[in-house]
Amino acid sequence: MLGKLIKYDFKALKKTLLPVCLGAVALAVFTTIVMKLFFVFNDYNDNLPIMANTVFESILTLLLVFGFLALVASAFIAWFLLLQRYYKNCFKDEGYLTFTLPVKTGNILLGKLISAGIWALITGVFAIISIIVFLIFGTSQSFINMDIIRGFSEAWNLFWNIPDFTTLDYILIPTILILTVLCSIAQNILLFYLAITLGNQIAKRHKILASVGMYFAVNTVSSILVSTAMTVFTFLGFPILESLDNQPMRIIYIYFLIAILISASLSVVYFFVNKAILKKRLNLE
Amino acid sequence: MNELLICKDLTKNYSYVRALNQVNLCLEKGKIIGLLGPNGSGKTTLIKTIAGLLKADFGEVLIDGEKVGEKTKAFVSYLPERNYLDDTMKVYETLDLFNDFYIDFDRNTAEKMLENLDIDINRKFKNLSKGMKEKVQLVLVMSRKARLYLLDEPIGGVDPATRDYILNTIVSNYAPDSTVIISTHLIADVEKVLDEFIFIKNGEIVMQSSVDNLREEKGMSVDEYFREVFKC
Repeated sequence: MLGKLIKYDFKALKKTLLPVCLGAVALAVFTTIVMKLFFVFNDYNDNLPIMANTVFESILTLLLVFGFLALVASAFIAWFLLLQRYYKNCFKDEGYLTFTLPVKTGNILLGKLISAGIWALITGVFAIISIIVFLIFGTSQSFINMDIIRGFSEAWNLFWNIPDFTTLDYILIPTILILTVLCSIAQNILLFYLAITLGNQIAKRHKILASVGMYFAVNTVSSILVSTAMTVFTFLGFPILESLDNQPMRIIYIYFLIAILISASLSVVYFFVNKAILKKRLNLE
Repeated sequence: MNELLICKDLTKNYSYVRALNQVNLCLEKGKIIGLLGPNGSGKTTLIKTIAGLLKADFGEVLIDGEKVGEKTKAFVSYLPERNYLDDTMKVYETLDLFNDFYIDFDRNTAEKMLENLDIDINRKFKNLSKGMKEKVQLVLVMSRKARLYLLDEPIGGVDPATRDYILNTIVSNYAPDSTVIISTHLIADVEKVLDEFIFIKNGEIVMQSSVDNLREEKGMSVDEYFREVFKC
């Protein structure tokens, strides 16, 4: 049943998120074209009357600002849509179907987490594509900015030839990066989900406002717990860190592993608290 | 064991309002039962508690011996008094959804019924008229071979001709050993299909009886008796 839940959530998210993703790429192309116009315009502006010059420049600047703002906005819209699906599908009219399906409450939550996580990744990939398109095509007068491409390839070569790096380091770094990204996506989604559930439980009216309040409340409590845990870790682990004084990479790995551990633990807590509320205290009005 | 649904001391409060007050019920298999009461009497609260959308403050519900949960949801078919489908879906996608999740769903029956109703399954749910949406939901719910049907105001928002169609659909689609609970305040319309009726008022069961008994003992129809009991 989990697979089916993921399928329907994934499809529903696709309807709203794919247009946003494609829109982001279109915006990147748009800002790239505006930049090209800027470069062309700069070549000819000495030959134009001052008035026309100012007008053109203002219009292009406005378009550019619009393009960038819209790109940033699309990231927020994507997150909003991810959360809206959870809110609508669980606590509005659609919740009447969601919670009468013969499935475990934990699976409903897990299905929503996995499908939203996949879409968060897809959105991220589209965001990176948009940035790369702009950097390569939109930052120089020539069609392609060769400096950027050279820069990328140099950074790539440098990375693969760091002195003292073993094969193990080259395996550990991507693994840790991937785990960090996955855990932080899960932690964020589950924090928002829990806040929405709590907001709907405690408030009779203004449920969205209550959810926002619960987000800050849960986040604050989590930060206090995390900083306490970190202080304890540091005290207990200080001798270990000192003994690793001449191995800076080890210290970085340990730091990231602890961060992943904390993120994963918070995700698990958020998940099970949310599941317990949905299972034991669900009251759809 | 012929009982299908047992409610024991079911109590539910909404802030300061007692929506259900120690409701005790025992319903048998193979009956069509009207859950009748004025607005705000607790009909919807009772149905939602049986469906698993509300948690009772006290008491318990047993359906075929099981507490409300994943297992009971597999054999309880619930029609809410609102649109509960994702309205960006096409009608055939909602059929897919029911087919995927409910093993007792009969897709062929559903498609035939929709065809009889002239509803194009390629249309988006949100582009259908209000009456059509209600019909699609009813078709989905009645195309399941469930043990218990919970129908909350199934005829509330439609014209009399459609009401008859809906009631016929209900009567001709439920299996002999399943039970149907219909909540409504349009008593005259449903009376002809009911075996039993339950009067509910201020969250309490006022009366539970068979329609035939009422006719024999009081010489009244359910509609007439309802007007007498709930006279303002």
